[in-house]
Amino acid sequence: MRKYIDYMKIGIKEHMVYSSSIWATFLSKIVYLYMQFALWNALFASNAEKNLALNHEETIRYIIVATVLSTIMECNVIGWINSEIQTGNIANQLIRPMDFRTMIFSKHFGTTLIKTVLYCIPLCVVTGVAFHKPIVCDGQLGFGFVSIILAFIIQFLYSLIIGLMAFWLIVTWPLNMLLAAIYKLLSGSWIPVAMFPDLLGKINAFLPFRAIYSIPVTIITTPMSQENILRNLIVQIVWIVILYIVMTVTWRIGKKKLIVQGG
Amino acid sequence: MNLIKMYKHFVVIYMKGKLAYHFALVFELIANTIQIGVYFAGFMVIFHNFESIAGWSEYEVLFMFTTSWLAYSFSCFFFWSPMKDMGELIRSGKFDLYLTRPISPLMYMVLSQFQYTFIPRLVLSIIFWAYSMNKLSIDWNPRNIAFYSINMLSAFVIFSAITIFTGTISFWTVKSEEIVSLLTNNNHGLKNYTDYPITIYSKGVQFILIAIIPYAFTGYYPVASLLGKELTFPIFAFLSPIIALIAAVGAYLFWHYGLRHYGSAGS
Repeated sequence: MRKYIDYMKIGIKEHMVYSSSIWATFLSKIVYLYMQFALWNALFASNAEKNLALNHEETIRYIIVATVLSTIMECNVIGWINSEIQTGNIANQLIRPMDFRTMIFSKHFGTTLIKTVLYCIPLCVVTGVAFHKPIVCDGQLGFGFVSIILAFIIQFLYSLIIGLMAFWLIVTWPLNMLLAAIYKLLSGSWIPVAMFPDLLGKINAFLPFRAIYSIPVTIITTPMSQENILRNLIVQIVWIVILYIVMTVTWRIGKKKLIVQGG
Repeated sequence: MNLIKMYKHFVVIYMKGKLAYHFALVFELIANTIQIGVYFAGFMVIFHNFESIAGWSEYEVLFMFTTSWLAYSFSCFFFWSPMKDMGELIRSGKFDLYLTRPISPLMYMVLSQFQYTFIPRLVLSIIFWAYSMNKLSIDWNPRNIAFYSINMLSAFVIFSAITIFTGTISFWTVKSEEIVSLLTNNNHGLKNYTDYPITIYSKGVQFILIAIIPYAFTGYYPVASLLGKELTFPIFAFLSPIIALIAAVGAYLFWHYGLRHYGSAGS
């Protein structure tokens, strides 16, 4: 356990090295949040009579929470594994007396903790001060947190699968870039999933992306029945089970096919 | 002439290096195409729900931001990668090597790379630009063509100047990637603000986009004038070339100031 906690600390320390980059990241989140806020406000202001899946207030709440959530959901796991393989370091990592996946998870967990402190909480404070109306549904906040934790696990498993594929593909960042684009649209971190055209919405129902942003954000911002909340949480759990199985298979295949270069 | 010949040599060498991993290269191009394609898809999803924004129709907005994207893609073709790498070059000390070359370091950095990854963005921008232009009825008389071309060139200069400016900051702080991306990244940076009419932002933000980081002059003002939109200050539509000149001179001076600072600091 100690060694994994040490890896967690490494994750925290690596993130803290450059204070100017912390500031720039935080500022870029505010820049993005304000742009989303202005864009959706203007869209609703210009189309007041339109009847949409989400109303003005719900949409604004949605995009605020989605952007705040994005500060902790973004994940470097794919990049880490890629660079370990390219430098040949992976050989050293694998002969250590610990599980490679747990090690990566510890580091990722550490990074997420520090991101929560550095970006997520300050951004909550900033939006709370700047935006006077209530943003979250108080009664559903507990379920929201559970949903965020499930989303965090889904995000990690998904990234780990893509990262582990580098064991035989050597580089997976182009694959990641491709998926990141699809992810950006389908997860609902940019446009609320409820606003998708029918066909896109139907395709998306069979993909894991919406379980990362859309489900937790909707639970936090939109009032819904308890039954509905539970159904959404079950969808997330099902995805965790599926992705865990895929991850285990990828890991088994990957270990056999691993190509160590350089070193 | 000499420069073009040199550039050709550099491009050939650069691409030979990249082609060694042709699988990655092809994948990179596909990934870029999809990445940009998804942005347009998202734009379509937004306007599937809404008809207009701040008095601009879907096609007017599309025409405005593809205009600015075209200039941006050309600018990034030359300046984005060198400026993004500045921080890393200075950290690793590789920048010292560039100082010993027989041409100026900026010229060397621009010539010695070839950002083929911006080709998909350029192609898609052109497609959607033509598509939106087709849907709009703009009177392409000689005056408008001249006006539009001059502004396109100005937008190119403004984007390049801002990119060089952010890269130059690396001479003082070694970790400048985030500052570069804060201003120029097209996913979450300030550059994104140029995709929509600037009247949707508060007065303070509009002021920043006009007077401090003049992105408003890369697309919004010229195109608004071309489409006959009501502007608070109609004169702004004709300021782009002047702003471009100021930005270019400013970036040039700042770069040379940074270069001198770096030389004197030694490392």
